[in-house]
Amino acid sequence: MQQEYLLEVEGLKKYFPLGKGRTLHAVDDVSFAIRPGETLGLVGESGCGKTTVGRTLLKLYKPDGGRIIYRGEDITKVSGRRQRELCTHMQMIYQDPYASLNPFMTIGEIVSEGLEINKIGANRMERTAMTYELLERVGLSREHANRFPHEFSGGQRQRAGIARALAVNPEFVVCDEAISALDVSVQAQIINMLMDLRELMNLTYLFIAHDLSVVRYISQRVAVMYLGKIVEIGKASEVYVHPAHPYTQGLLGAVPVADPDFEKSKTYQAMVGEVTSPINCKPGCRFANRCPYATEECRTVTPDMKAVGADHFVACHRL
Amino acid sequence: MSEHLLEVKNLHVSFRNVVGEVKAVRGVDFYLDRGETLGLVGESGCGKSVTVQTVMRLNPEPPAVIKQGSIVYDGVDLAKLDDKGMRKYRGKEFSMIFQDAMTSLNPTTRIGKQMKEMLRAHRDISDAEAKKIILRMLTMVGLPNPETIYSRFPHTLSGGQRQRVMIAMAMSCEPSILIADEPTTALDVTIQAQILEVMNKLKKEMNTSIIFITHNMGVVARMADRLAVMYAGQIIESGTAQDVFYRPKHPYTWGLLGSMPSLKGDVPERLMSIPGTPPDLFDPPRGCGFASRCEHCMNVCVNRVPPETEVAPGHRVRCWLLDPRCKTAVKPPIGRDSELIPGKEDA
Repeated sequence: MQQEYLLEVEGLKKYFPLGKGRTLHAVDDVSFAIRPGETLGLVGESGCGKTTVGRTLLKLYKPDGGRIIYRGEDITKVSGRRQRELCTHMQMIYQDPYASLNPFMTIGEIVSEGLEINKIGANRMERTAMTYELLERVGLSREHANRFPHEFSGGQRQRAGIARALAVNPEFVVCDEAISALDVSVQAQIINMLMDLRELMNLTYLFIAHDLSVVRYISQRVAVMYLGKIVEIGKASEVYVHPAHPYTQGLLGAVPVADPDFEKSKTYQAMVGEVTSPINCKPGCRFANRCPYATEECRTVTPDMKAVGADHFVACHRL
Repeated sequence: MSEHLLEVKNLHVSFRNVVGEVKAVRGVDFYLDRGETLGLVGESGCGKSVTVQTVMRLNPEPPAVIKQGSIVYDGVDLAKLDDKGMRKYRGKEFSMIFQDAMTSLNPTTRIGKQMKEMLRAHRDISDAEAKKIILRMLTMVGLPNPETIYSRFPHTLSGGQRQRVMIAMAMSCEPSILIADEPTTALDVTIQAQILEVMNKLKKEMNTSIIFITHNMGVVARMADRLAVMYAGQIIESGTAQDVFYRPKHPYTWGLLGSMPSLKGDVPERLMSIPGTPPDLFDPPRGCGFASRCEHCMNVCVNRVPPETEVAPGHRVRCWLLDPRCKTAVKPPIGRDSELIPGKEDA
């Protein structure tokens, strides 16, 4: 069944040189594909490279290896005008609504900047009208256009950040921890809005988050990352119900559930140890030192992705 | 005098500045018994941190003012003590761990030295004894090779290790109350699970009571025996964890529980969300703090503060919907038994 993918990533690598011959392997040989209209959740602990994946996809970082294919076109090396055109197709919503809006610009200016740069809309009046429409679409009002970011609450700022991303009418949006900085009740408002916008504007999301329950809720498929590598990828219903990789199992077991009887009766098998350093990684499974099932093979040979079910792949020697 | 270990009654705390007064805590009552964990939940700005910081008297006064109320611990009203009087309690009887362990530790001092400093300020012990206690504490919180940690600087430790050091430090004087203010919010889930485990273990071993502040309903379900939900400077619902999770009565609690996606159960079509944002406590609303965001809001809610109703022993709720004169029955959309509120006719 040949299905057309909106975005394909093959063997993506991003290394950061640290000097003195040390290299941080932020993203190391990551492959995945996203179908149009789908939401892929990307989860993992801090430092696992999930944000770097998002940023490299949008070419905010120059990839050090691998290919990014957007609608059949290899965009890994494009630059100049084509790159700018691509920006109208691919956008990003950032984590920190306090740091990602320019404090010297009004919300209206922030949202309409992308329209101006890309010459969307015939004249200023038309662009203003579009800005107003965008603000209303994300639950702000046109009166907000003349205000500055500091006059808004975190939730409202995040809405402005979403309006900015959607201004150029993109197809693909990377939501990088878009809701992590918000309070629960506001979080729910934004999640619901993102889901409505997905329907309305036919969006495809790469939803990066560390909160597994939010990802389960919004994504059709999930990819679990650990130290620069995807260890498990598959349908959300599949990965959450039958996690196959020991890391996914541990991660899911560690999330406390809002059910006191269940939580207190649960035998807690806290994952031992902490994430090791992604600097100058050796071959072998990167989870081996925390894995309860690790063997000699795990420490020396890097595991390949293996299919364990329909649309469910795991990188583990045990399977 | 009081049967509880700690009893806070009708506490009002304000912050004064040139423009006016932020009424951060507006009449909070709660108690804590020996060996239990009280979870204090609510969104940012609801006053949960201010409440516990007032118990510790950590807020500089001024600008903070305790307008009224009492904080009774061991027969003494802490609200009336001066700074010098408080010193006997702070660190020794109560200790606190914070969200950000990096900023709570002194970056220029080795772990061992800072722990020793605090230990010897409260207890009359020799240097060698102090070191022995510290090493034992570091082992208890699950740090491997405590000897090395002892002589290291905070920045060389990971977030999880720093939080363990904080816990070891807080528990080294064997306090009767440990106040944990979002201790795991900055940590990854797997590390969070380890830290929660350590806290539960120490609590059992040392018979400490914990006040656990968090906005994460999952964490509170794991930790708390009893729960108090705060909103706009008031506790709007309190009771055992089971009461609040399975039989919530306040619309804000419904919203809070409903807006959290869960790992368990079916994926809902839509998350319940609470429209709007919390009120500005510079000029708090006259009636119920939640009225402007509540879909069941009645006239009375806007004008008068709802009284506390005890719906079951120990389960207290501040909501006009529970008043016998209220004719509207509202079915809680959340909880285990979605029963009608007792005593109400169907509207």
